[in-house]
Amino acid sequence: MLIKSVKVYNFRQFKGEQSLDFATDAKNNVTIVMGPNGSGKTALAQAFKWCLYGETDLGDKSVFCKAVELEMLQNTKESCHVQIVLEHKGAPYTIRRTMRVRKEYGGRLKEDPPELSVASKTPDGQTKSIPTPELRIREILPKDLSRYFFFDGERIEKMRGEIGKGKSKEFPAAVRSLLGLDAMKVAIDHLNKVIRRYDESCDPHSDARMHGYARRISELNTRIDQISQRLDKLGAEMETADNRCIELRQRILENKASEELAQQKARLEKLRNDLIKQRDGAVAQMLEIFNKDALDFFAAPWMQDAMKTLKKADKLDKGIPDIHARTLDYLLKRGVCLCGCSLEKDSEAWETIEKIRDFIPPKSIGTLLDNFSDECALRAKNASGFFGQMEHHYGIVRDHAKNYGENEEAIKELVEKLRGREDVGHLQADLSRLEQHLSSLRNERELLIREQGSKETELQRLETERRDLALKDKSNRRIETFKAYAQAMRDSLNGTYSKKEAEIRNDLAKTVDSIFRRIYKGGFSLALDENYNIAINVTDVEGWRGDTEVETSTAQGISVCFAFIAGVIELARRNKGDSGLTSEVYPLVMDAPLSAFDKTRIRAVCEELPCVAGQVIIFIKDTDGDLAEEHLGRKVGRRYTFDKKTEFETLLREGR
Amino acid sequence: MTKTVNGIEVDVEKANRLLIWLVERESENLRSREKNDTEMAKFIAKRIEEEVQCL
Repeated sequence: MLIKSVKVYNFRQFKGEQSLDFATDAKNNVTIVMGPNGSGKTALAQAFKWCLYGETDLGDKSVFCKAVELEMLQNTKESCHVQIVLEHKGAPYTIRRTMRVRKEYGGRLKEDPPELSVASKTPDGQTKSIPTPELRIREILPKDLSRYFFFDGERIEKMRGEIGKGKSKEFPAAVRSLLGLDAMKVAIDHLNKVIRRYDESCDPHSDARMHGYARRISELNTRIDQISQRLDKLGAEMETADNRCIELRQRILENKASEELAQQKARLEKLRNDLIKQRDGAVAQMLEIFNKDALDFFAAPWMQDAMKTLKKADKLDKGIPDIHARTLDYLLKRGVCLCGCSLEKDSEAWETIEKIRDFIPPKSIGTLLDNFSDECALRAKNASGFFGQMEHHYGIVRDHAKNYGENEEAIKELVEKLRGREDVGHLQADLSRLEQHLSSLRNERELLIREQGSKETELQRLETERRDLALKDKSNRRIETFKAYAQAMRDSLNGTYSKKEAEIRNDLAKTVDSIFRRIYKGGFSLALDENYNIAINVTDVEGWRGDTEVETSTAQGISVCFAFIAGVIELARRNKGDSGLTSEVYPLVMDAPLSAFDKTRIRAVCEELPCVAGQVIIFIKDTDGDLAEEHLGRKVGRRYTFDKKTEFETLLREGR
Repeated sequence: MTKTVNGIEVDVEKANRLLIWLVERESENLRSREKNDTEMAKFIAKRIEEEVQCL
């Protein structure tokens, strides 16, 4: 696979159509794309991933050009696309992913699901659209492996972990495919199909029992296939669930401290609610007291003044309560007092009664003043508690402000500490659910394996019986002969495949190790297991246990990744043309690959990679780029630079 | 040289020749995608029958 060119249209920073042609010449196979930070190097490197697999590792998942979006009027349509032209196994391919967008009323951008198309050319030059584009891309470069060929230097640590362990089961299959074992693998699959065809084509009418055997064998084969497919699916599901469980356990462990913080935050939030309730209660009390006693309290000074004035005027306590002038008139008229004394006109008693008239209603207000005085006394009593009570409740409100503020500060601090951490409760619930699911998958697998074993035993027995029977019939004996050849071929190919695969794996292990030593130049070696997992071993320390993997530095990690990728690519290239192997050259598309290396290793990597890869495309920042270009020297076939116009717009220019 | 498979004598040389032919055809088909799985199985069966009948 060699990438001839890429065209981007309205993709991320690249407004309108812009294109790059890559160096594919064997001698000058390096293309350098240089630019300052934020100019779109990563976006362009990710354009490959988006075009092939419909996804990117970019934080902002929207790939549509922001500069174009800003210019779009409401209710108008636009599109963006990435088109890659590449050559794979001698056939040219044009791969294009297009996304249509519409700016709705209100300015929101609505993105349609992207559409993928793959076209190739037939040997007679006719362009042919591939009906299953996803499948074809999987054959050209499986997604599982693509991240090693579309290489992001900024995510190197994660990649190192994956190369060391934890790759999916499809990974070894994908590596085997890249290393050219595909033809043997499909040949084995096809021979199995041929054998099945022969089983089904025996004449069932030659013997009454043959019909029964044919039917039952067909049923058993169908069921064994179903079981096998289900077991494959179960294996993949269990692996995913297992990995997810490991990840969840790790996250729970990492977030253990946050559990306590979350509990503390819950306590403070409860306290916040209590404080609010307390304050609201105090305010309500204050309002009630104010409504009830405020008038008395504020009128108290005036009442006191009034009482003083009345006292000075000596108007109080001289009248007779509830006695009116009309009462006295009546007594004088009747001539007899209440006490029974005679009230004769101008007598002393008469004079006394007449004097009293001055102090009673309507002539005097003494009684009213008495009543007023009583009222004042009562109100003064009410007002006496007003200030104290108001002070008490206001104290609660004032304290609330202080306590609430402190509590809010504490909550804020906890929220800060919890930011980015996860809710352990949710993680725990997810883990329990997943473990239950995993357990049910395991049970199902065990049952299926048991059933598969019994079905296979029955199948073997029936096949032997049927074969013995078939050999007695001339027509069936002929078919059994063909089948015997197909079986002999399959068994032989199985043996060759296993042997070749082991040879290639050993060869890969040696190649990767040798490249690693050239790049890293340290006292380490690499080992590869049967699933292509890499371990780093120390070679220059006496007594070091060879099976103990060492913790790697960033530079070692990157060297391992480079060595692994370069090893696969070199072997794929070396195997090209080998009879029986269907291998291919592969490119390396690298985003910021050298940022973690020192000068010595940059030189080593720059010298190594163009020799092993069929093509190297490097997206690099200007400072590293100068150094890379110095070491890559004659290998550089094409150069491009990013001309950053705005934060949303970058132009690509050929040359420096 | 022969070997017995399921009670039937198989000419090892002929089987090996068929194998070489098969892997070459598979490699070619992986490039051209001319035949699908079913067609390939038919194609292989036909070739085996032709070769074996020449015995």
